[in-house]
Amino acid sequence: MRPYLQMLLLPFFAVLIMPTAEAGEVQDSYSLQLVRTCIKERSMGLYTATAAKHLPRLGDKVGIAIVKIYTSSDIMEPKTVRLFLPVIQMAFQDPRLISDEEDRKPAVTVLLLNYLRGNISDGALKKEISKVEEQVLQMTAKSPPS
Amino acid sequence: MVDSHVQNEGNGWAGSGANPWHLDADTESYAFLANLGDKPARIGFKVWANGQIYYLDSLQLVPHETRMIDLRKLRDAQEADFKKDTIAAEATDGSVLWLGLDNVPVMGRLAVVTRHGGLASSYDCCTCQCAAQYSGTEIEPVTACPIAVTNTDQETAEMYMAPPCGGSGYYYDITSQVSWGSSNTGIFTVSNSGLLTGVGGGSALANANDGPYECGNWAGNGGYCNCTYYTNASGSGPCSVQTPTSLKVLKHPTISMTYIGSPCDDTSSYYGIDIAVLYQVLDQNGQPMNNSNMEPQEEVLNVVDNGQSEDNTTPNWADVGPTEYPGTSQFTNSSGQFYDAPFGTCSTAPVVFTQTQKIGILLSGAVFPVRTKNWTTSSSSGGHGSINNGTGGDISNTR
Repeated sequence: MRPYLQMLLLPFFAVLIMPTAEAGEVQDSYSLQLVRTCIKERSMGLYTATAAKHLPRLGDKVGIAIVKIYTSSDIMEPKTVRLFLPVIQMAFQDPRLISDEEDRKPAVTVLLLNYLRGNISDGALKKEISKVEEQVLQMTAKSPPS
Repeated sequence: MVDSHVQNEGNGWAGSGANPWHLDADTESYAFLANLGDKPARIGFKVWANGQIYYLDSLQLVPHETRMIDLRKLRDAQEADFKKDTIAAEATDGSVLWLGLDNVPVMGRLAVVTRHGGLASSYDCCTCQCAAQYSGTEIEPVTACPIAVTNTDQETAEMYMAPPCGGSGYYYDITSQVSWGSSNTGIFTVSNSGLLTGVGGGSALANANDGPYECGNWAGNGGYCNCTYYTNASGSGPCSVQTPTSLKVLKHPTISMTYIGSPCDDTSSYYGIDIAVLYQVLDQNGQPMNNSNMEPQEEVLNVVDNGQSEDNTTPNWADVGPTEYPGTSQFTNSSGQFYDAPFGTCSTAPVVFTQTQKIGILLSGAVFPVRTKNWTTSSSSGGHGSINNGTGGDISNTR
């Protein structure tokens, strides 16, 4: 299932910004650390200001990060999905703050949400996913040009 | 239209002029300058109005050229001179002063014309027989000095030419005619065109050497002018370079985390506190940097939640703004100030939260670290807590 998901998302990776790290510096192009930390904090019932400050800059990068963080089986776990759905919401809460204009279009994230909705059997969770997808599309649709 | 005598070299009046001008709904004023010689003639030219002097510092006439200067257009253009001054837009009266800078015959007059046949006038009053003499070179920044490290500023070299018969002088732009250099290239460099680039904190001199060969003293003799000595125009001007070095806390209000779209501002059921800090960027001497092109960055390290270490959230420099918090921005404001908003937590349970925050200032691709602080929040009852930045910190707050 995971190879299928990655194949599905592959064309969207092509638009990512190339890493610009200097020699010896670890470049986290997909903000994996930030997303991983935010999801962990959510699991502890914690919001931090740092997450609130930096997540809204990610936009569509959050979908890519989630695909990279989880294995194909983990990403389908209802408990896991419920942890990262709010993180996706925060990443699109104000599209004006998204750093890269390309990431204001939720292409990868919507593809991920569609994929999850189509492959998860939990009816209540399907509704939660649909709600988040709808919110993301609404937020990005009404986003004024920067 | 009525105008005054046409003056000429050798009659004791020519080569300079001081003329009143007037502008209103029916009146225009025009200055006419003519080069009567066979060589180019540089002319110092300035306009007095409302107690302010406005310089034209690159006026040059080719041989036998007559130039008309429309005072209304000159005033209304509101184009600043090298001293960043303009002719007051509301000015209706003033004086035009001009002086030949070379030993070339130049004549001029100023005509005040009324549209309905009223009185117009013009006169010359000066008795300088000879051209202006070189009295030094000033170096002026086009935009600002001091500048921030890595930033640039164009310098201008202005030759000061004084009337040999006394009175205030005139400026003439020789930026492109001098050899530029720096007294300390570790502080700033200066290109061949006079572009100054900040390298490191400190002060140095921008040097403009080997400019045009000018007469330093004219001596009149029966209608003829003889130069007693010549010199190359040269000068120096200081400029300082500021390096972002530290931050000063200006204020730090507590805020609520409503911007994250959660009920974190519900102080009855959530634990935590958060803060926004207004910083002033200071240079290596503790002086404010008034630059609006600095980009505040942060790294967040050593994050510990109730004793449990987390991954470093932003191990590489990341923008501190903009956020949804009012006042935050990607750049500093024109006073070199910025909000970092916020630091804090919002939790469903009591929490002790610590992290190390490094703040740096990004300028032209280089980050200058300016602050490293250990932050702690501690909340033991719903909606309340305290926040500080460690022992001896400059911020503390409670709510």
